[in-house]
Amino acid sequence: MKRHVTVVALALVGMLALASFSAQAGEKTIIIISKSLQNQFYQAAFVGANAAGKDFGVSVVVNGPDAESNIPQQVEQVQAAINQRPAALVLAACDPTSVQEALARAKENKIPVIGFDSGVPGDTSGAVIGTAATNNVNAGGVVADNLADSPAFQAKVKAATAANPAVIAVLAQDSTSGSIVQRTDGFVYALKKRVEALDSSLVGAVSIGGQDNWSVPSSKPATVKIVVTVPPTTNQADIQSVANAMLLVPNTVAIFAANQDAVNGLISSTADGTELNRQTGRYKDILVVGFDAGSNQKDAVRSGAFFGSVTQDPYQMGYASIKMAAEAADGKPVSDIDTGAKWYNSKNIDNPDIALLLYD
Amino acid sequence: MPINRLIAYIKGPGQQKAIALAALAALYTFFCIFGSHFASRETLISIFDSSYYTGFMAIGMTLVIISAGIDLSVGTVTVGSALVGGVAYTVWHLPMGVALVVIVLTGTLFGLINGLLIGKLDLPPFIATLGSQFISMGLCSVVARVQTMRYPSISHPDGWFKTVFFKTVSGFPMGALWVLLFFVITVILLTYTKLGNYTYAIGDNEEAVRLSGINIANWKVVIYTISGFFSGLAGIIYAATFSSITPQTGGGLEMYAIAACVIGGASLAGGVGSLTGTLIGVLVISVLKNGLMSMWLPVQWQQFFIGLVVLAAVLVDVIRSKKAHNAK
Amino acid sequence: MSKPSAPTPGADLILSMRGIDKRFPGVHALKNCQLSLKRGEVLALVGENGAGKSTLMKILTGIYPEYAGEVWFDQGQVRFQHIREAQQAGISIVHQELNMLNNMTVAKNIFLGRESEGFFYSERRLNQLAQSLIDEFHIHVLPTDKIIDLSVGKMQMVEIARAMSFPQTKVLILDEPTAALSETETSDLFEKIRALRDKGVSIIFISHRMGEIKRISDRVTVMRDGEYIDTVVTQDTEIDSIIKMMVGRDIGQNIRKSASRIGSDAETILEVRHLSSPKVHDVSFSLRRGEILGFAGLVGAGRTEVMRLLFGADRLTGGEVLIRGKPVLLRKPQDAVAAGLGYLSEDRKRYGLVLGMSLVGNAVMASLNRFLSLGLFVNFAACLRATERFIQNLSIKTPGPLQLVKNLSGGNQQKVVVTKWLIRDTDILIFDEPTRGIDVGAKAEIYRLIEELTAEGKAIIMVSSELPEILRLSDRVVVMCEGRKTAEFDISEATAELIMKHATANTN
Repeated sequence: MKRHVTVVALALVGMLALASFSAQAGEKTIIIISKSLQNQFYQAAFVGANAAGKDFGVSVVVNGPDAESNIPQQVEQVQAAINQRPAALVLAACDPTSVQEALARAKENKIPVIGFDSGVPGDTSGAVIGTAATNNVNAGGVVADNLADSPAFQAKVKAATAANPAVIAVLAQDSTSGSIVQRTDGFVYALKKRVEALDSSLVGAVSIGGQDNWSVPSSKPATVKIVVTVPPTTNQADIQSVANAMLLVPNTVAIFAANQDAVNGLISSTADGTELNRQTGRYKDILVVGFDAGSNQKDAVRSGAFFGSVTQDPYQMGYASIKMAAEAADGKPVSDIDTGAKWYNSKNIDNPDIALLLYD
Repeated sequence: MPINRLIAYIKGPGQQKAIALAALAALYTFFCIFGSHFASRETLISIFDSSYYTGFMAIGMTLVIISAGIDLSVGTVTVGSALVGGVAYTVWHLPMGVALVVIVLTGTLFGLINGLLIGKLDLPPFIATLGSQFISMGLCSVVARVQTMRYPSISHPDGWFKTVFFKTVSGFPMGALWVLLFFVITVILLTYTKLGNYTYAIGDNEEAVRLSGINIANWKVVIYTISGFFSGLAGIIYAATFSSITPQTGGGLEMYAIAACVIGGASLAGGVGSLTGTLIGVLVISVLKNGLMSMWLPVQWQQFFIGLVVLAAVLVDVIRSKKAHNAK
Repeated sequence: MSKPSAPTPGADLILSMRGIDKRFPGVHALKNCQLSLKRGEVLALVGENGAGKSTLMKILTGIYPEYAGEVWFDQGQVRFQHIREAQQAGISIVHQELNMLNNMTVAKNIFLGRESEGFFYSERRLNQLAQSLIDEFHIHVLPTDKIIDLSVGKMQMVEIARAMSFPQTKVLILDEPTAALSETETSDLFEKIRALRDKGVSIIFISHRMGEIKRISDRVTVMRDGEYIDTVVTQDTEIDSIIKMMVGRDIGQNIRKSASRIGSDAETILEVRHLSSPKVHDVSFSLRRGEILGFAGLVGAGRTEVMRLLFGADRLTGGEVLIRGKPVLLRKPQDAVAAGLGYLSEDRKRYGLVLGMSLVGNAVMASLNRFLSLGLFVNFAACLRATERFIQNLSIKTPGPLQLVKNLSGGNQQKVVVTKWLIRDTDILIFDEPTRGIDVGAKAEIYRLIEELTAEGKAIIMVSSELPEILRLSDRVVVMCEGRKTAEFDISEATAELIMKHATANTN
């Protein structure tokens, strides 16, 4: 039996050595923990983070739970990260409350924490000293502006009546995630303003509803309705069934899918986007706008099935957050950075400056 | 003399435990050498802190496994009862103390249901607890209206219950004291009471117990209810550890509890197992978890290595019993 | 013979069961049965398997509380609803299958269910109580020994000690207590039974072994097909007449073979030289075509171990095996099967049969390769044909080849195992305790079967702990003791006394 035990032990040690081969600790280590390890968005951010690591001479370690909903796993990762005594921690919290205790320990141990992407909204520990993120309200506004500039959109909105109001649907994956909420805020309020500016008859005729969080009644019978829908869970199946329901609402003029998961749900409920085809699609009259990138969304935009999308700049987020973290580790003061948002459609999608931002 | 007796114990009935303990020491040493900042007091406390909820689940699971049963519902019951406790606190606005009692009661209730299904209705434990795994996951999510439940942070006045577990008293983590307290209580139950004796006896040969005129159904109800009670306790610690409880999660946590029991020498065939072994198993898992994270390894490696350790534990057990059989 | 109705218990009788009638779905298990037991006697309860002995005892001990008829015990009429009530009233039973907790101690087994009045119990107290019982019964165990470490004989004694540990046990029921015991252990047990009887305990002794019944019992109650036949005084009754009552026919227990039927020129089909393993020491023997080679000895003499080596189930440390003069390597059972050996385990239900499968399924299990079409699909019709042939040849009593094996009687199950090997054209068959747990009537059929097999040229090794069986069937007898071969006789020289002498050669 001794022999067996030795063999098993040796195998264990060997595999560990092999597995840890890829990870090496440098002089100054910064740990970056995303909301999900596999997500393409965060993979792009990690590329930026690693680039910044090279530029600023720090070693970057990336980590994250296997899904955004796996809060316990991320909490454990944050705790373990703090045990490592990194020079700084960069974090996008799945659930801001659940990491508070761990962040309090970071504060105790004087480990600076930098938020990225959605960051750690409502942090009470005081450990988070800055965030590198898209200003999502602005980004939502960019979507609204581009939609409102479209002549097709303007024509339909103007033609709408109170008996047959034009519907603009918003598919928000989650009503608790800060980034999606802000994006939705930015979109609905900016769009209301822009639509009311199109024609005097539309002033006061735009209503916002669908969710308690977004409820602005119109002052006269609504001819344009902005309806926000949140699926019961963040599961792909639920997103898809909500998207299906939206497509069937009569006189839907436009749909805004507020993040990559919502976009994917919409694409999968339209036969991989073919039903959105401008010429032949079943829903060819609906203007679909998306957010973020990803290969499905890029294809949909390139083919014209999507009217367009707004992308955040994950590369910049990763890069800026590591830059801030490296500065904070050196004791320099840091301040929040807006990493920006860009509109892209079938015309500019392959321009080099845009293509750089579009992760797969 | 005591040394000789210790050696005899290690060679005899305590062998699996001794091997598990040696493995624990070896793993710890390994990570101290190869992990970064692993050999620190903080990490040691983290190892303890992240083991409490698995520890409570595993204590209850040990009883169940010794009785030749299995409880697949402990993971979802743990999270489910934490969820219901969160509803009690945030929706029904009950004081935190009452909410904690609600957590334990919810867990105990599911345990009682398991016990009645298995003891009184004679359902196979695997099926009964598989059913209640889904039932607890679904029902508790419905009670929470599928909303994530949030417990107050440690700095909030109602966050006092977290300090009960996550404060250190003269360097010793409080949570470990709680686990130790319930460990001792359960050891007493297993060693000095009829409950313990019948738990082993039912696992060993249920028919013999029945023919001795013992009411097996009632004892099974008690065993599974205790498992549910410990799931409730685990629920409190789970809430304290993670603050935010997401509905429809918790499936899979029971596997860590089962793994801990097996690493500690419990046999799924029943009749064999010890709480000390289980506790060692819990620590092995926790050291692996923290150690692998300290080596910058992605989380999936944890599952891989815990799987390896479980297989190694079973292998050691198989080799050992084969040897014992040949020696006879 | 007359059938007197059972009298009411009084000074003389401790127990009287009258007009007991019990039905199970589809079976009339007991028809108006009776039983009376005197104070301080050993009553043997005999009958073929399925005669209703166990059912009657289960009624008596409260395991079956639903029945027609009345039970009078000690001073008055009783109807136990639960085994516990019977135990408290003073009736204890030791079941045929040892129902013990293998990983638990002797003391905990003895006092299972009676640890204490309250919730807590003291293991030390249990050990003390167990120790005094152990002393009383002169069992060589410690209260802290685990059951798994004991021999079957000791387990049996612990079970009896347990049964007697109930305060004022007045009636002790022993269901086939000697089935797994060696001769010395049996004698030991009988001594203890007599001691209990002398103390005034009444004992109901269930057994298939006529010799033992003659040795130990005062009276014999015979049952057949769920009916009470008669109760006789043992001393005044011949074994043959008891058997006649049991089976309703004369089968002759004392037949023995006087001379070998095998000529010295017969082909030697199997030769075993210096077989050794940790439990077997230098055993050599040979087997000829058509021969029955009996392996006699006490339980634990190493006979089964020899067979396991021969069948490749255990690893040998020395020696060689030759089949038809050619050395063969038997490292795993597949090798042995390929070499033409078939092993019929003493524990049919565990090692020989898949009880939940059909007769045909079991029969073709070891030879499925022969029934494949296109090398992949089982030709079920061919399986059925082959099985039906053997059902006829071996006269297996079954409604058909699709019957589940668990629904067959012990004797017929044994025949199914034989069928399994015959379908493979096995030349050498090893029967390990071929009639264990098989009733008297079916035994005769198994004997006939074994003899018919040799007539077809099969060579047979038969391990048996029953001397009459050895003497009746064997052409030659090998005697083993403590892992060694201690003697070999031609049947014409073998006597029961001689075999016993060599079977105990190394022991005191």
